[in-house]
Amino acid sequence: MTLTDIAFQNLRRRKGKTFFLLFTFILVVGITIMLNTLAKSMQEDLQKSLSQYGANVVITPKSDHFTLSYGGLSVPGVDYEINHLDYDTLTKLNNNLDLRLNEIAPKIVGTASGKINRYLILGVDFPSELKMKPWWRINGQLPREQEVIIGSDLAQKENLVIGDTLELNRQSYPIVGVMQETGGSEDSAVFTNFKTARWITGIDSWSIIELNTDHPTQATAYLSELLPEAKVSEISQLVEGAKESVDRFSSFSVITSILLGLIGVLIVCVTTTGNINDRTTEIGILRAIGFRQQHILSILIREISIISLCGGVFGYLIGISLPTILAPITFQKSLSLEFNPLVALTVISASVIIGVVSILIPAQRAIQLNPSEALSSI
Amino acid sequence: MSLIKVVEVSKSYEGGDGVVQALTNINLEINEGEFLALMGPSGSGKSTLLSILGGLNSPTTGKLIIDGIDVYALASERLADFRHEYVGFVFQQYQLIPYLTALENVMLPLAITSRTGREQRDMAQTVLDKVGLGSKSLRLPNQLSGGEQNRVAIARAIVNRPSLIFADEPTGSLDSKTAKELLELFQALNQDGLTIIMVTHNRENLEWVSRAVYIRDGVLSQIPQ
Repeated sequence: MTLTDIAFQNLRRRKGKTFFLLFTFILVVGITIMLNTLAKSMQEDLQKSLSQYGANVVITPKSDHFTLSYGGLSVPGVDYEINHLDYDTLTKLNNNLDLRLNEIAPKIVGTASGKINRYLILGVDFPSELKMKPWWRINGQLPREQEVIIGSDLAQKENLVIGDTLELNRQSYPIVGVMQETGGSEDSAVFTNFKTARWITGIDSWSIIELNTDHPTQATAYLSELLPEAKVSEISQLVEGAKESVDRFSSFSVITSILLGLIGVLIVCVTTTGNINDRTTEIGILRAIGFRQQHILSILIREISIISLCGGVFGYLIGISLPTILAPITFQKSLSLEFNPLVALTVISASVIIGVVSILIPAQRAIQLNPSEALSSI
Repeated sequence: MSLIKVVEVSKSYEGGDGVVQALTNINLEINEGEFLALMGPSGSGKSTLLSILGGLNSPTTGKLIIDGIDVYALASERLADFRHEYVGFVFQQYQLIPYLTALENVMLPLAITSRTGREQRDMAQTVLDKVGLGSKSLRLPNQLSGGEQNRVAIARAIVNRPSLIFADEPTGSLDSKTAKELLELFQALNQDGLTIIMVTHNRENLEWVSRAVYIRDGVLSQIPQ
C-alpha cells in the first residue's frame, strides 16, 4: 500500500464527501467556462450586429476635389460629375475571399435637371442596399426600369406622391415609392436601379462602392494596394463606436469571470477546510502510527489533486457543452462545441492549483496538531 | 534491563479554571518484556502518562528515555520516526481508519516503509491470522464487532514489530469473554518478547500483568503484587 493507495481508498469509499467536493469543482469550473463561452459568443454577436449594418469601408475614385457628406458620414473624394470607378473594380472585390465581405453596395451617383431644381440621382442595387441599410423603409414598391422612388423631404417639398411623375432631364419617370425619413442625404435623393440611373445621368461606371466587412481596418489597407486607382476609406466613427461597445462588454465579461472565479475559490476553500477539519482524528491516528507530517500532507495533496483534476476536466467539458444546449433556448442562437486545448489546460491546471492551495492552510494546521490533541481518546 | 525510564515528568496544561496539574514528578522504570498495568480512577492522569510514554504528548518538565533515546529531545519528524520504529498503539475506541479494510488498516504502518505491496500484504495477513481475523481481512471496520475491531487495532500495533505496545483501556468497552480473549492475546504477545503498557481501571485485569502502578491526582505509586 502506498500513500496514493490511501488517498484513492479514501475517495473511493467516502463516496458522499468525494462527490460533494468533486461536484463543487465541477460547478465552479463548469459555470465559469459556460459563462465565458456564452459571454464570448454574445461578444461576437454584438460585434457582428454592430458591424453588419451600414458600410464601414467606402471606395471612391481618387480626386482632388472637396469632400461631400453622404449618409451622415464623411466620404472624401466623392464628386458628382468627376472621376468614376471601372466596373472591373467590383469584379476584383467579388473575387477576393480574403476580404471577408458581408455586403457590397456599388452606386451610381449623379445629378439630373428637373423643371426647376437639380436632383441627386442614386442608382443602387436595392437587395444589397436594403441588407446593408435595414433602416431604409419604402412606402410603395421598388422601382423597375424607367421608374423611380423619392426621398421624404423631396416628396414633401415638391408635394409629390406615389403615382405622380418626376421630370428628369426632360423625361418623365413615374414615382412608385417614397422612402421614409432617414435623417440623411437620402431624404432629398431620387433612387432608381442601375440601368435607369445610367440612362438619366449618362454615367457608365461606379461612383462609389460601399462595403461591409468584418475587418474594416485590414480590408482598407488591403484594398488600397489592390485598387491603386481608387481611394479607400474606413468609416471610423462606425468602427470606433462598435469597438467601444464590444470593449465595454468584453471588460464586463472579464470582471464577471474574475468575480465568479473568486467566489468559486472561496467555496472550494470552505469545502476543503471543512473536509480536513472532519479528519483531524484520522490525522492524529496516522501521526500516532508514525506518519510524518509530510506523509500526511502528501496524502491530502494527492486526494485534492485527483478530485480537482477530475473536477477540472468534467467541469471544462460540461462548461463547453452546456452552452450548446442552453444558447438555443435562452438566446435563440445555436453554438457549436469548441474545444480549445490551451484553455482546457489552463483551466484544469488552475483547478488543481486552487484545490492544492485551498487545503494547504487547514492541512498545515491539522498536521501540526499534537497527536494526542487530535485523538479524543488519548 | 530498563527499556523505559521516566525522569521527574510533570505535565500541566491550561484549563477553563486556570492551570491544571495532570502529572507531578513521575519517576518510573519499565523493563524490557514487562506487561505493566497503569491503573487509576477517571481523570487521574493515566491516559496523559500513557500518551507521554508513547511519544504523543510532550511533558512540561522531565525526561523520557526509551532504549537510551531522549524521546522529547527529538525533532517533530524524528519523533514520528521513533513512534513508527518503537511503538504500537491500541486506542480505547480502536481508532481504525473507517474507509480502509481490516487488512489495509493493518498495512498502514508498512505504507511508509520500503516494503513492496506484496510484502506488506503478506505481513498484514499473517498478523491478522495471528489475532484470529484472517478470514475477515477484507471487511471495513463498521462490518466488524467491537472485539474484532480491537483485534485489528492490535494487529496494526504489532505488524511493524515494535518493541513497545501501549494500550489505552483496551477492554473498556468489551464484554468479559471478549476482554479475556484480548488479554490472552496480549499475554501471548508479551511472552513473545513485547513490552506492553496497558491503562486499565479494572482490577480483574491485574491477574494478567507482571506489574501494576497506580496513579491518583497525577501522582504515581506502586501496587505490590
